[in-house]
Amino acid sequence: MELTIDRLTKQYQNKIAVDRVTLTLTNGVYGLLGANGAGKTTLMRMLCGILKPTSGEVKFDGIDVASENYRDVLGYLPQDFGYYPKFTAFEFLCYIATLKGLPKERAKEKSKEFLELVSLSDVAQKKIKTFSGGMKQRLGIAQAMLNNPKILILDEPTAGLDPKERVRFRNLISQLGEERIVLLSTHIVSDIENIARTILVLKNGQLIHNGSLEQIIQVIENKVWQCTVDRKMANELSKEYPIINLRQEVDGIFLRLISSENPCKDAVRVTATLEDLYLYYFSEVNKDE
Amino acid sequence: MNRIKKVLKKAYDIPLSKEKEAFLQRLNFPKSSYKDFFIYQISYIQKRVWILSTALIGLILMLLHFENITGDALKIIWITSSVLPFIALVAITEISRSMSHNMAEIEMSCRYNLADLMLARISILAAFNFILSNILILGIQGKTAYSPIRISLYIFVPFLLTCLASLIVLNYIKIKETTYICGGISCFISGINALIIGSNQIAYTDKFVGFWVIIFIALMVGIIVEIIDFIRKLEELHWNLQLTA
Repeated sequence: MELTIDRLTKQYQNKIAVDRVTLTLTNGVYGLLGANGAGKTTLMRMLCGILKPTSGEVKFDGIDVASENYRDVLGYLPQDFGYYPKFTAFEFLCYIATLKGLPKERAKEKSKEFLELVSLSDVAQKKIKTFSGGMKQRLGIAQAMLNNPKILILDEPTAGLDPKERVRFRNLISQLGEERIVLLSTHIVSDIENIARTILVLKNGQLIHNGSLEQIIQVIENKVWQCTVDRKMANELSKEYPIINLRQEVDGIFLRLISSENPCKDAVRVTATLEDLYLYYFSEVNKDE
Repeated sequence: MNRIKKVLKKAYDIPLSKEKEAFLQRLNFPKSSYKDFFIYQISYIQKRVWILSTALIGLILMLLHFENITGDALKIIWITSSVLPFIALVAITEISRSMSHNMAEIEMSCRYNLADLMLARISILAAFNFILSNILILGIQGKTAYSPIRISLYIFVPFLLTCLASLIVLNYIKIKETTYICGGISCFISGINALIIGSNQIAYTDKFVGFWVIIFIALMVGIIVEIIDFIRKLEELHWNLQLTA
């Protein structure tokens, strides 16, 4: 089972949204990290065959992304999806199941099964328009799973979930990743840190990192420092180094920053996290926004 | 033989199934055919589409019955052709449902994708409207001196024009509010149609039948072209600035 992405590019006029991304994905959970506008959603849409690449190709075990057979093994949760307001949760899943080619009886069985899995059985007969954001998101995850997909693509799946639901969701994704390719994007770095076997970092449409947490953190290993300093010093350090965290404390200003050498005499070197890496890479982008 | 089976069942315990769930998970269940999918989609057309379309045809037939206008061809055409654009609107709102409710992206990623779905929806609605049209023609037949074909030309041109204009809107304007634009188009065509019939009665004379035939055929061709374009465009998302994320 192999999803091959070969020099995948999407260009629109003078904007390159995805720039020659080449990857091979096998079983497991892949986390896609990137700031807003990095090209995550565009990449995911091309992997789902709903956006045509400018160049490059996507194949799953030799099956082209544009074919019905590819869609047959695909489960997709878009970042921003709607629903027909008159549908109940059960009707919605049955409807999607028919689009996924499930015969009606099996569609009903699977809909019940997945409503149970995402803890929506109690509200199966309630209209979706009465659901909270988290409930809609769980329903979205259920619809993506209906055809027992071999490729599961989830764009911001944890958006709108409360911390308890997120933990449940992470456990579910970990299980699903055992026998399929799961690619998920999120801004919640801890979600990716906890469940992704491989982390992909996308910046300006280019894949800048592809590896395990330990591998990609190497970039800033031994470069993360913490210190508490006065305001004047804090201002100076802010100008000189990328600041990961800044907060006012009783005895001064606490800073967490990235530097290849000791930035000040009271600074203590600390273990780098994925969040440090994310903020390090995307701080410029965030400043622009 | 049956006795032996019964005795054997009593003699041995039935072994518990091993890894039944895992086996079922791996099993590739047969998929439904496009024909099955097409039939399933009939049940997913909103009830209000069936009800409203039937009610509008019923309204026309009732008006024709109670107005007692047998022989007044222009009044029959006026009533019928002014109401039919709204039947087109009902069908168009159903067709544009995926876009107006933001379901298109999920539907595009399924085995039977949005293009397949639209083909099914359009075919079902076209077949339904064809049946309703025949009922309408049967209801009008005998009330005017015009032949059923000629009366069809007059009453269906505004309907077809609404379909064509709405399809052009769906093809070229990619916003969720297209339904409102199509609603405006239906009202406009219905209103203009009512005005034309009142002031240009000459248009319904024998002299202009050829003109009506040409318009009818041109609209039919236009609709087919726009439907093909509409379905072709649904095979993928079309790039706009909202897709740069």
